[in-house]
Amino acid sequence: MMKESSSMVKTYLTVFATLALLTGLTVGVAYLHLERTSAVMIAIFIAGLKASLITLFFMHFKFEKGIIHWTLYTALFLVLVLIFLVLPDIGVHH
Amino acid sequence: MMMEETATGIPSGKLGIWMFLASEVMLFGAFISSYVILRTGSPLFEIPLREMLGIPLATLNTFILITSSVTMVLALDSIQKNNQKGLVGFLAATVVLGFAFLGIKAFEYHHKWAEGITLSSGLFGSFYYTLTGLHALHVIGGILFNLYILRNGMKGIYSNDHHERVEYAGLYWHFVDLVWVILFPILYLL
Amino acid sequence: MDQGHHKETFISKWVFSLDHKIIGLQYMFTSLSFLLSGFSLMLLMRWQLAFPGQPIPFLGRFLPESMAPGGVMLPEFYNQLGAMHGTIMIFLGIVPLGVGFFGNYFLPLQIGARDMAFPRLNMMSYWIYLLGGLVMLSSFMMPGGAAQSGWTSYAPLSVTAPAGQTVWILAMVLIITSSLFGAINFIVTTLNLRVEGLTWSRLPIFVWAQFVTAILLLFAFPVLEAGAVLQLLDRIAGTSFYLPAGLVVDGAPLERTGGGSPLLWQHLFWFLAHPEVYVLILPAMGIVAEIIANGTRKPLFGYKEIVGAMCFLGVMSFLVWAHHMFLSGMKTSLSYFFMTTTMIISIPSVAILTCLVLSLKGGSIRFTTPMLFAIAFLPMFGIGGLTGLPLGFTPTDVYLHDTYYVIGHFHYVVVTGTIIALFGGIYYWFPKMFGRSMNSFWSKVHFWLTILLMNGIFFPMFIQGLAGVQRRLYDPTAQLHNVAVQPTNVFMSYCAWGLLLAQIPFIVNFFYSMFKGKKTAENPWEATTLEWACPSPPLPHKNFEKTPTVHRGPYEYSVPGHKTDFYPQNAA
Repeated sequence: MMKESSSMVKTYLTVFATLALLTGLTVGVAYLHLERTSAVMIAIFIAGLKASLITLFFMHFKFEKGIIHWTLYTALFLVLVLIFLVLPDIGVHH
Repeated sequence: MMMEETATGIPSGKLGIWMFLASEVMLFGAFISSYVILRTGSPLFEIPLREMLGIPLATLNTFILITSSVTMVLALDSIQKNNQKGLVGFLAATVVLGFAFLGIKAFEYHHKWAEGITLSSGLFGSFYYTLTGLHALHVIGGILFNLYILRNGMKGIYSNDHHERVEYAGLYWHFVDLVWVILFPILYLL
Repeated sequence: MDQGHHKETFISKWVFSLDHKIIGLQYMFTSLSFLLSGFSLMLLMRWQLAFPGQPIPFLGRFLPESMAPGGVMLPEFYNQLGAMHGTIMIFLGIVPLGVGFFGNYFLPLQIGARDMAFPRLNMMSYWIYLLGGLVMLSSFMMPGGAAQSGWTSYAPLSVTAPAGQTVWILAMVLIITSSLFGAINFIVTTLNLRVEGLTWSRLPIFVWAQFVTAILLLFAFPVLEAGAVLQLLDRIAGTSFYLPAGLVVDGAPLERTGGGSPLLWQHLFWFLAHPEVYVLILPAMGIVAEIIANGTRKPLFGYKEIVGAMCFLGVMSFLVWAHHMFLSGMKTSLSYFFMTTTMIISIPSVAILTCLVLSLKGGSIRFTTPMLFAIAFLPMFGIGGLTGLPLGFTPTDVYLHDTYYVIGHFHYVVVTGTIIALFGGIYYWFPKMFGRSMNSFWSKVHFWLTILLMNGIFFPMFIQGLAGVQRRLYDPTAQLHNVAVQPTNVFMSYCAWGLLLAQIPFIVNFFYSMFKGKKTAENPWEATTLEWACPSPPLPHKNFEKTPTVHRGPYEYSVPGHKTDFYPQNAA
């Protein structure tokens, strides 16, 4: 499966450094007191990036087969369906 | 135990773990959706002052969990190279970091409760304790799984061609880390 | 792995068994018992509906004061019966029978596997299910009785309800956990354990149906689990996830911060509960497809179309849930969206039904008992499905919602549809499970009485609903407009009690045939799929004498040039 293991260690450490950096970044941005929409966008973007890095490299998602990909994509799609189809319904009742 | 031939070529255990993680995505997804929906939709969703949330401590906890993820993946890498000592060492580090996370979390809970952010003090408090509490339960589950692997590892059960369980424990642990990566900004930073 | 070599004790063989067949049988007996108990609750309710305010004859004397003083049922008790009837029938009866039993027993056989992918997980899911069921039943003993906010448990009523609701939630969490374990097991088994040659396009429809069902369970159930946890916290921890500000309960303001939304519960609930409808119907369709192919002695009409429609149903079932909530006053744009998706989802259902009906065309049909049930399924499910359409349109739904029309609609789908198909499945596979066949005369008696009485119960519901009779009414004669149709209630109640009697031939026939029935060969129906290639009953922990290899599609009946009119999948 994963042959050149020494290079994998390097990848893991690079990912770790990136994750640490992104954590610092997102905390830093939070103290900038940006306008609401952009603050949310940046925080969600960074969180998404971090989550993707963990999935792709630590969980070896990058090296997995299609069926595992589809399982995760389906779950993500359905969570988005849940959020975005319920979201417009709750606000209007108040 | 010999690996059985499977129709997909993926070991059943790994496929099962991924299916389980997909259902976990739905579980956390539903909780997080509820949080997002009520936070944007409810007229009565008061956010406590930023100073009360304790961002520095939560940031430290984020670092701890990320570090535990990398020690976990290094444990797997060690056993793939048949390095038993590396496996045990990195796994032990992961478990210690997991406990550190829980310890800080407990301190945070205690502090917030004293500040008046409780489970029933308002929607934010309710969601804060529900989401982080559910996550903490998963951390505990992950620690138990890792301790089981650690015990087997110390007995020398795993080797470079037999370490599926190490991988499965890792998948679960990374997922727990991943959930925290999402919870951290939406509960503390926004 | 090698249990075959160990000496098995009674406990490890029959109680804590890891064999998918034994676990399947455990599921069957347990879920049939739950079906019977859920049905019995309804029989009590039918007394109140037919003869409101009169003491229940005979049985009334045994009910405690808190439920039925002097034998007359209290409104609270009526509500408990209603909520528990729905919950038990759906979550403890039909799903465990259709998936837990049929899936467990026959899916591994049809794909030529020795067992499920995770036997230990399989055993756990049965025991957690049983525990959940017992907890659910025990809620009748709670102070204030069992859950009484309907099987849908809408907030805030459910949040302020007596303690039985907490037990309901805990039982649901157990049942959900059990279903998730089962779903993971079924998916991995189908993906990984198919024997050589059994490609996706050679998979029997039954396996496809179970596979899609498992996927629905896997993705939909966690959402209800989350919703249930939030409701639990609302009940015991003082949170307000589902409670708006300013609620007044029994004349006193509720001491909560408020700000929550009752609609959030409805969304989380129906996000599960709509896919759940397909969890109820897909295994039934799978069973009917198997029986029809076998009974008509010809290949199914439109195998690919059925498979495609099932997969499409699976996807769409996640996009229609809010059509249960049109009356909540949602945005027009949102209700249009759900109305459109609801109309779209009716297409694959109709496609499957059409394929099954067309499969009958030109066949030399063998009218065996299973075939009678399968044929009856077609028009009955058709009625159930088509009466659903007016409920998917907002203009008609506003009138029909929460009337008996809705009750009629889903009982036609789930009872005359699913339960009829499941009965057919039991008759069809009985010889495989026990190596004996059921008595043909008494099974036909059972069939005709059951199908007639079921229609006698459910058809008048449409009339009542159109006349404006609301569901969940304790006393139907309390409103003047309901009095006109009250005689139908009496008729329905007699049919319901008759339906209980009509099950006696089934029960007696079942147990008698299990031990004394006529012995049958390995393949009594002359069927083609793999489960008929192993001994009856299949070998413990092993199923097949020799792992089969598949050479052709699942329904090769009446192949020109072949010496018999069936060509088994595994025949060289």
